Amino acid sequence: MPFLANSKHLARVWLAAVRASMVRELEFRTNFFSGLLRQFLWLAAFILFIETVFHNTNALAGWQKSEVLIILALSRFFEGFVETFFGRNIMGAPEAINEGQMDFILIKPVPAQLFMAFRRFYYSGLGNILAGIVLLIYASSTTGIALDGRWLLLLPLATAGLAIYYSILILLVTIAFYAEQFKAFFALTRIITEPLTVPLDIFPIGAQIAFTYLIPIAFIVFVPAQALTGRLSWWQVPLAMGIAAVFLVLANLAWRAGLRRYSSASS
Amino acid sequence: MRPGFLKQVLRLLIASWSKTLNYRADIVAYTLVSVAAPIVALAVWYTVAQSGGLGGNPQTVLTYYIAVMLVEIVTRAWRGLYIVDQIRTGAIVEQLIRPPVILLENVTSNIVTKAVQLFFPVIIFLAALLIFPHSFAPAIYELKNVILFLVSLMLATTIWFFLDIAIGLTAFWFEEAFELHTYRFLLMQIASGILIPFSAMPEIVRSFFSVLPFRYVISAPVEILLNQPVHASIGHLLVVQVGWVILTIFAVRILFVRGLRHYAVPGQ
Repeated sequence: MPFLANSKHLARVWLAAVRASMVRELEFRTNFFSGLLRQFLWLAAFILFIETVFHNTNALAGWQKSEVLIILALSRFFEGFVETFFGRNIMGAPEAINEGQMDFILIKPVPAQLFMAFRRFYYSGLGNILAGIVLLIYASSTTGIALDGRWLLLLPLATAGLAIYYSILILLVTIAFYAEQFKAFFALTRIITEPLTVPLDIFPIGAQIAFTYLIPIAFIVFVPAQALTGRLSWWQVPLAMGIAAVFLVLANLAWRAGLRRYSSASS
Repeated sequence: MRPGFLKQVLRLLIASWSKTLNYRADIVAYTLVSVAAPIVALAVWYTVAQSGGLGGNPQTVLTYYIAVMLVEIVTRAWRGLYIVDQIRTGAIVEQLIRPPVILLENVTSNIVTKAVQLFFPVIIFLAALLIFPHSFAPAIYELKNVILFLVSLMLATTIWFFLDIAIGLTAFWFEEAFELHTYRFLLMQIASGILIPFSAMPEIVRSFFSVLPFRYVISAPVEILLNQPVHASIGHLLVVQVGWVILTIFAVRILFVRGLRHYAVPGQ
C-alpha cells in the first residue's frame, strides 16, 4: 500500500536524522549540558513563582497549588516535546527561505514541510520532557488524582494540542514567504507561549475566548490540565480535535501558498 | 570633547533611524515580547490581590506592572548579542577601524530603537493616566516621585546596557558567550521583579536577589515611582544603582582592552 510504504520511508529518513543529530550533539557537549541546566533552572524559577503566589493566596481563580503545578508540568512537557521534535526546525525556516537554502529542502524526495519540520532532533529538549513528567507525577499524586479514565483523555487531547502548536508555528513562518525583512519569529512564538504556564481562568473573558478560538493555545496545556483535574466538559474533546484539524488544514494551505510564491536564490 | 564628535553622533543617529525604520514590524514584535511576561504576571498577581493577597490592593498591582512594562521597554539591551556574533566572525574589526568609538554606534542604535518602541506605549500610558486616574496608585502623580523615577530609570538603562555589552565581550574568551545571554534572560525574569514583585518574595530569596544587579534594572525604578521601596530606602536604591553603573562600565572597559589584546581574527 503506497501510504504504508511512504510512511516507512519517512520513518527511515527521520531515524537517520535522529542519528545524525546525536553525532552533532556529541560535538557540542557543553551546549547540550548548558541547555539541560537552563531548562532545570527555568523549572525551578517557575516553581518558586508558584510557591510565592500560593504563599499569598489559597487558590488562583479556583485552582489549588498542586493543580497549578500540573499546568506547569504539562507546559514543560509540551515545550520540551515541541523543542525536541519540530519547534526549532520550524523556526529555522525563515532563514532558509530568505537565504535560498529552501532549495536544498525542496529537492529532497520527501514532503518539504515534513522534512523542514523534522530534519533535526534536539536532544537538549529531553530535559524539559523529563522534568515535566516527574513534576506531573508529583503534582498528580499530591492532588490525589486517581489512575482512571481521565488519563486516557490525555492522549487525544495532547495530540490535538501538539497539532495546534505545530500548525500555529507553520502559519507564523509562512510570513517569511511574504515579508523578507521580518526576522522576529522567535519573538512571536514567545508571545504565544507565555500564558501556557498559568491557568487561563485568570485572564479576562475576552482573552479566554481569543486563547480558545482565535489562537487556540488553550488546547495545548490548559484543556489537558482541565481533563486531569476533572474540570473537562464532554464537548471539549471533539472541539479540540476539530480545531486541530482545521488548523492543520489552514497551516498546509498557507504553506503551499507560500511555496508557490517562493523563488530560489539563483533564479 | 573631540572635534566632530557631535557630528558623528548625529550621523550615527540618522543612520540608525533609517535602519530601524526598515525593521518596523520586528520592533513591534520585540516590544510585544517585552511586555508578554509582565502581562501574564499582572494577570496572576491581580487575581491574587482581588482575593485579598498582597495587601489586597489590585490598584497598586496594576500600577506596578504597567510601570514594569514601560521600564522593561526603556531598559532593554540587545547589542551584546551582536557583539558576540561580530567577535566570532571577525566583523568586529570593521568597527575598530572606523573613526567613531565602537560603543557609540551601539548607544545610538539603542536610543533610536527605543524612541520608536516607546512612541505609542507612552502616549497610551499618559492618556490612561489622565482618563482613568482612579485606576492607578496616587503616588505616581507626585512630581518628586516622577523625577526620582526618571533618574533611577536612566541609571537602570545604563546598568543593563553595559552589563549586556560586558557579557557580549566575553566572546573574546568563550565560544559559548551566547549561552551566557540566555542565563542573563532567565535571571532577568525571576530576579528583577517581573515574575515576582520584591514585596511578595520570601525574605531569603529577596536578600539573595538584592545582591544581583537585576533588581536595580526593573524593580528599583518602579519601587521609587510608587514610593514603596522594599526593605530599603529610596536613597539606598539609588546609591546601589550608581555603584552598579560604575562596576559595569569598569567591567566593559577591562574586558574590551584585555579582549583585544587576546583576540585573533578568525581565519588568520
